[in-house]
Amino acid sequence: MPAAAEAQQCKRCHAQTSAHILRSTPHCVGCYDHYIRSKCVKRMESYKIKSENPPITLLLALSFGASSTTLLHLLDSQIRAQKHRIRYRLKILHVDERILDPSLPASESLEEVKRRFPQTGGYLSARLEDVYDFAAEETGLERDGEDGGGKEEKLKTLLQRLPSPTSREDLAAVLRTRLIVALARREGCSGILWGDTTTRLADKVLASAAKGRGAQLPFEIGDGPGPFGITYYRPLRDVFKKELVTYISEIVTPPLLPLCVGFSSTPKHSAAAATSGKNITVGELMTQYFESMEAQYPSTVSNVVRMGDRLKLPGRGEEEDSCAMCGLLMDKGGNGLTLGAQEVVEGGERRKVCYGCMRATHGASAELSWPVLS
Amino acid sequence: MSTAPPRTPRICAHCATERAKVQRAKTNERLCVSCFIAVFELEVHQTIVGNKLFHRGQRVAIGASGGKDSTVLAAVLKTLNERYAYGVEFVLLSIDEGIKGYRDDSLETVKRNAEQYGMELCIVGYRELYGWTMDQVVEQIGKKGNCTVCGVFRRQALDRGAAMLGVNHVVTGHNADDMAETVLMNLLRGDLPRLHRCTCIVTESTSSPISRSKPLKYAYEKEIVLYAHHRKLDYFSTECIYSPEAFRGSARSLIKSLERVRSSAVLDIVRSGEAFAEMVPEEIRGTTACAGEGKKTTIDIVAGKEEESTGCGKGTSGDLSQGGEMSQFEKQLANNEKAEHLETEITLPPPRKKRSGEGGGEKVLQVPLPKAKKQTLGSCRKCGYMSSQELCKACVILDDLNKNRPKIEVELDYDEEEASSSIRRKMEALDLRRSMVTTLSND
Repeated sequence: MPAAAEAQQCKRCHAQTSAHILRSTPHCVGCYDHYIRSKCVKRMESYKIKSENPPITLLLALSFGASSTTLLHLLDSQIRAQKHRIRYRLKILHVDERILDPSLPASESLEEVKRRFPQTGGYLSARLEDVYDFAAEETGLERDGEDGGGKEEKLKTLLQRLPSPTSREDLAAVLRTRLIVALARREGCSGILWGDTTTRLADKVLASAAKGRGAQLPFEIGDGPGPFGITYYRPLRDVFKKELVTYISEIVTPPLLPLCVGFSSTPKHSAAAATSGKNITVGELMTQYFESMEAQYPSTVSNVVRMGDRLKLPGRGEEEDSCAMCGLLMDKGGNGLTLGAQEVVEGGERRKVCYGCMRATHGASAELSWPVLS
Repeated sequence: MSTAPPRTPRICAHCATERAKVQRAKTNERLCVSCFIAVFELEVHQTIVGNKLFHRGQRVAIGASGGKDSTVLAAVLKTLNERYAYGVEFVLLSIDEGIKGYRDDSLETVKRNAEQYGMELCIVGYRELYGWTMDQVVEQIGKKGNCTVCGVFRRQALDRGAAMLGVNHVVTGHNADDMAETVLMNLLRGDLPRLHRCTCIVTESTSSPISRSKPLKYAYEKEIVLYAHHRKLDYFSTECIYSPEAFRGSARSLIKSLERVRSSAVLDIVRSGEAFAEMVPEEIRGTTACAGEGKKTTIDIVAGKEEESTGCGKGTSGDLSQGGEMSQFEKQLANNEKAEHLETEITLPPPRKKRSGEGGGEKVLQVPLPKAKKQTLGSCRKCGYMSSQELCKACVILDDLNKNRPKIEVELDYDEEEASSSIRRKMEALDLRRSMVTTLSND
């Protein structure tokens, strides 16, 4: 890494020579590790998880990316340290999304992780299409008469009918979240641990806005009660993505990098290289925007998150007021003027769909068979 | 831009008879020219009616710059006023910032528009009002912060112009792209109070007697250009020669990329912005968030308190690399973070709690938080403009500017009374100029 920092002394312990610049101060490997750990531990402490009998179980959503893998590594140490007073147990879930992109990691990679962290908790995996197992009903079935198709077929057809890569990405994320929540419930977990870093959260603030999902922002970035009676925790919210990239390859020994099979230092669709913007999605664009921003303007990035955290849901409506697709609170705004004056939503029997989902499905090539979760 | 495979090639999606010549940025529909113009006007009409922007017999000023937005706004409002019999009298109000090669030419366009649409025109100039043209301001302070100065000046100039025209409502040509840009900019700056109000279609401020509204709030910039093109409107298409704030530039280039990826993104951001407005906690809505305690120039202080969006909300695109303003903001944030660290290390007992001396001993009294200072509205000591401070923002800036003006340095005893009276004299001169302009346009 930085050659200039090489000769400097670590500003924390003043004993070791530093190899890394962290928050504009030179850090040795040990102090770097300590810094990242303490950020995560402090956050976990702030959740005030009480030790109960039996202790609560939390579900860690592992994508094999840099952040969620680091989170697993950090919580592994924490769990091993809490021998006498067990406050929580862990279950580790990976959702196989190869139906979206065959190059995504397979659940077999869990074996590797299990070997590294055998004591951390129970491991489980699911496929994205398993979300249909939890569906109370499905829309658009009668019309299509494709009742017989397997869930894989169903999801494939659904995705094909969506109007754009951004819609596919957006709704796949909706389904993934719903599947993770459903599994958390089935497994008796009271909370879900997400690997979101500061950078990722800032990215989500703007991506939510750009997808018309601003009204649901607190569920995307907040800690605390989630939308489905499950608590969300994001203990890595105080570290930047770039810090974890260094962490997994240069700080932890043996490096975590080989486990991070979902991590890639080069984006699939580069915003800079994209000429038409046809293939890249809104989400990818925002991710790259913030990953380049954190290099130059880290405080601006964390300021975006701090501001996002202060946005609160306006007084909670009744239960019926949730979107049939994403299950989140309805965004009742957004009228003909935002969707186009001539577009009349036909039929009074229509399901309640929030603005973001309406936008994502607007222009779909055929009626969608959407799994409605209870 | 290429599009989804055409299902009904080249036939207008609305009338299904004419050939489609226009693709809507908003919906990707292919329309014929007359259907496009009709639906564009209809949407503006719905915006006006849905928000009850005008009432019969009202006199409303259109903030006219000669650019595409305000020209389209004037044309659409004139059309709608006749078609739907709003019974509103529209007049044009222009600001002359004194920017050579930009405003002087665009004002010619406005004068032509005034004739074409048969509307009264009033031009308010910075030179007459403040004794400074923007060219002179930039010469003195450079391009950094000039948009702020211009924004403060414009706000007051608009108010004064509106007063001269006898109107209390000014409509401006802000379009959906501008709105989305402002939402993103406020997100990037973490500016909650502005996030709360930036998507409002009508803004009424206690510090201004004039309400402002944005009837083109839901109209895409691209569609505005198309509308102007197909109606062959006479507009001036050069953008301001002074660069925009870096945040706006960064937000703008982001919007452009997003629009390329999914054209609905512009309105989706506007929609999210409206949702965010509801989500800003009550206690931070009104008062402006207090930035760090670092040393600031007068202009920065004014910028922090400026109520409307600073600058004009227009500008050329920029990107992250051109960020003098952004690095400054970054530095300020970083300093704040450092300061925060220091604060938490000195752990003081909660400052709001006081022990009640005599009685319970153990009892802890909750001393109510000191209410945020209600700003009382007075008028500026110098120019008489509405202000919660002794001096209005424009006069604060002017003081700063004038301090560095060579000819004032000559005077040993700088007399404030004289300065204020000179402003007042300039104000009186304005009325003269206005009558001049109206006679001009009548010729």
